[in-house]
Amino acid sequence: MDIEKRLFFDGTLLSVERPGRYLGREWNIVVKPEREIRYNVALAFPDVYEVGMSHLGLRILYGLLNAMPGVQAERVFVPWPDMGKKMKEMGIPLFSLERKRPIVSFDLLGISLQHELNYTNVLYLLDLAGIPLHQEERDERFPLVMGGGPCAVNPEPLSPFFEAFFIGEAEEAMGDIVGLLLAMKGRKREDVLLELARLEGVYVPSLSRNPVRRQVVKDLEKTFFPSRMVVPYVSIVHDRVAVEIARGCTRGCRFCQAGMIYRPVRERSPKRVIELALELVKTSGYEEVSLLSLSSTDYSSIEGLVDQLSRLLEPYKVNVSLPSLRMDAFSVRIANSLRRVRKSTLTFAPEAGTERMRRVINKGLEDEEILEAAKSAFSSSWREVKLYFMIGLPCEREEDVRGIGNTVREIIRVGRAMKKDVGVHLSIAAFIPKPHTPFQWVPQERKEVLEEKIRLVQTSLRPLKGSVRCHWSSFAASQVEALLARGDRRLGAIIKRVYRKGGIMEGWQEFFLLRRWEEAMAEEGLNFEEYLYRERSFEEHLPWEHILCGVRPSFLWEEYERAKSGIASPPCPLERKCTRCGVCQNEKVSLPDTSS
Amino acid sequence: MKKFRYRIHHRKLAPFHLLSHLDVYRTWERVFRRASIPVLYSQGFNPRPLFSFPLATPLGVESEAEYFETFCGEPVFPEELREKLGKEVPQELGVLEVQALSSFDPPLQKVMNGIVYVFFFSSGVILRESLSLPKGVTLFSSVGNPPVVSFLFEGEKMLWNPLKLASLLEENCGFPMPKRILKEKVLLGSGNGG
Repeated sequence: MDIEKRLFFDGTLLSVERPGRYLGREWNIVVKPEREIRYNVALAFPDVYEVGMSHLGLRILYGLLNAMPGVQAERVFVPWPDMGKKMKEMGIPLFSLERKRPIVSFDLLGISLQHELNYTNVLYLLDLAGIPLHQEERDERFPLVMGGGPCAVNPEPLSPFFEAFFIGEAEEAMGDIVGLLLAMKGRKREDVLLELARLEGVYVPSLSRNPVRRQVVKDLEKTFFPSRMVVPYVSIVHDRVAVEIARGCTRGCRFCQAGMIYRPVRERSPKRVIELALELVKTSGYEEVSLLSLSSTDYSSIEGLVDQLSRLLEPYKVNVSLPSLRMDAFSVRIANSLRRVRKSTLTFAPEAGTERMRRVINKGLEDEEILEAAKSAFSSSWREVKLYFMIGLPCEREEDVRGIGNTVREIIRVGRAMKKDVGVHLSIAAFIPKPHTPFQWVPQERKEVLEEKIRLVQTSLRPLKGSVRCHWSSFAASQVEALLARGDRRLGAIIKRVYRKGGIMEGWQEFFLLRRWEEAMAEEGLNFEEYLYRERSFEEHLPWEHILCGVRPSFLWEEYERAKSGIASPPCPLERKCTRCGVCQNEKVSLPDTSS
Repeated sequence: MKKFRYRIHHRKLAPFHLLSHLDVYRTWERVFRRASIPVLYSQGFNPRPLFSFPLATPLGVESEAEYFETFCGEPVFPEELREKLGKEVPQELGVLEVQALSSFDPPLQKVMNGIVYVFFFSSGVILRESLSLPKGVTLFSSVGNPPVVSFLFEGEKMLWNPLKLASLLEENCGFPMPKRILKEKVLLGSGNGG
């Protein structure tokens, strides 16, 4: 029976939280006439609607696939547990938002892998859809399940559940992949996989572990970007138009996976960014445009872009925003010019509490720069700044942890000299070593040590109570995130056990339970020690070695050595002849023009 | 600054009854921007369009009688406004009428006398003459089987959530929960401008 009729036209969904997230029918969705559709793709994000819809990558893929003739792409998110339960009770399988079609009836199910704590949700999605969890239990009657996104740079833990992974940026490669799948629709699954494995950037775990090269977009300026965005009815986490101004980052922070795997940096011209922003505002009606990149103030013409775009959008009462900024005076000047329509919060990421620690992680930010930034923020109209820090970094000493408190204290002191009630909103996360970074060999800090360190921070902030709000991530959850990030294929069985024990929505603190992971590890005879708490050697085989991100392992190791000696490295010079990390020799990519 | 005042009458039919009042408010804000309507904004750090919603229809209730007022910075023909807005919303939220008001016309709250809600039951309901309804709520009509029953909310109960009446009927009279509740119309008295 018609899923939409059963759920959406009476009071059935009034007993679940926020039923509007299951409604679909948003402005700018794509539904093609049935006779034009030859290939159906379900795009899944293994978290709830409000999180998944905030992800730009999903919106790009949605636009990209739907721009292909004959292809219909529809979205699917994880129902909140109350809704999941209701669907099971009513015998309703997981369905897409656009046409409320059962996911099991799609040709391809693409799952975006952004966060390790969502891995159990992948199984939850498959289960709700009525799709067998293990890849080898599925044949051509079921959708082909393909993973992608940053977590796919170590696909091993999830590999038992996927036919294939796409490694890298999809804009230029997706045409070939979908073209092949469409041409082979209805053919035997093993034949399809054999052909699929031949394509660049595709990893088929059931076949071999031959090296797979991460795919990158050569020219950001000419590549696809959607000119329409779906406008949700319920409010979502990032409820705004997002335009990507650059991909990659020149800074080379050693903890940052994005900074390593998205190399080299590529920019979209201000002209194109403005064109896209105006078109997207017109077609969506959104009140805010966010300019996305890993490091906004490194964009070559950020000042001109921000100034011009905010002037153009002011008459429509649309404001421009930037993600977290580098903590220096230049960034504050940029933030100031953004306040034409709406005032937004000012967020900085100093990451570590002392200059020494920041040299270790290659953040390269001097105390003086931080205080200058605070000064100019408080002397403008801001009364509060938000700061991101990490604890549990490699080579971290007690003085570095105390340094967080000292830095905050100094910022408050500087602020109080200018205004009465200044404040700092402090957000602290545990460092997690990620694959394909210079810190991929380092041990994860133990939960108990992290808890001790956070107490140290708390103690040093006590005299400032009232001016400082402090939040930190769950350190139990960070152990699991670390386990999965650098895990191997054996962890597939763990993920499945945890799911069977009721582990879903584990990225949400109220649903996370470390005990389930501990039990599952014990049942499989695996231990956390081996995965988390030991230092790996350069010679050791790493489970993600067959995935090549373009950066040489010897470069990563050299950066790790420099970190241990507390030596900073310069940012990418953006020159073709630079050979340091190895990315620019491999790619015919278009680098930003910084010669002027 | 010159202000031009309009009252928008629209519907909110299933499945959009699953949206909260705030979701609908945000939707209109974006609809006005897509339609390039010169709506006026509030002052301050977070400017919002000047909308006033006198009656928040609760999540779960459908409606043929949603109203809000807004101000524009330049005159727009009501019919043009209706057409432009209509192009930017799903038909279930369709605009039924736009009325131009003068600044001295009383707001909707002042001229409305009552609200009619229709309850659609899916199974048999025995309607007794002596149905004990709260003061201010009267039985308006009842037709068909399974019945479609209309109630008129007046006076103090005018802004009552009809879901509350549904649960009262469930508790006191053993009625099943209605399958649908529709806000059918708002009774407007004299003094309504235009």
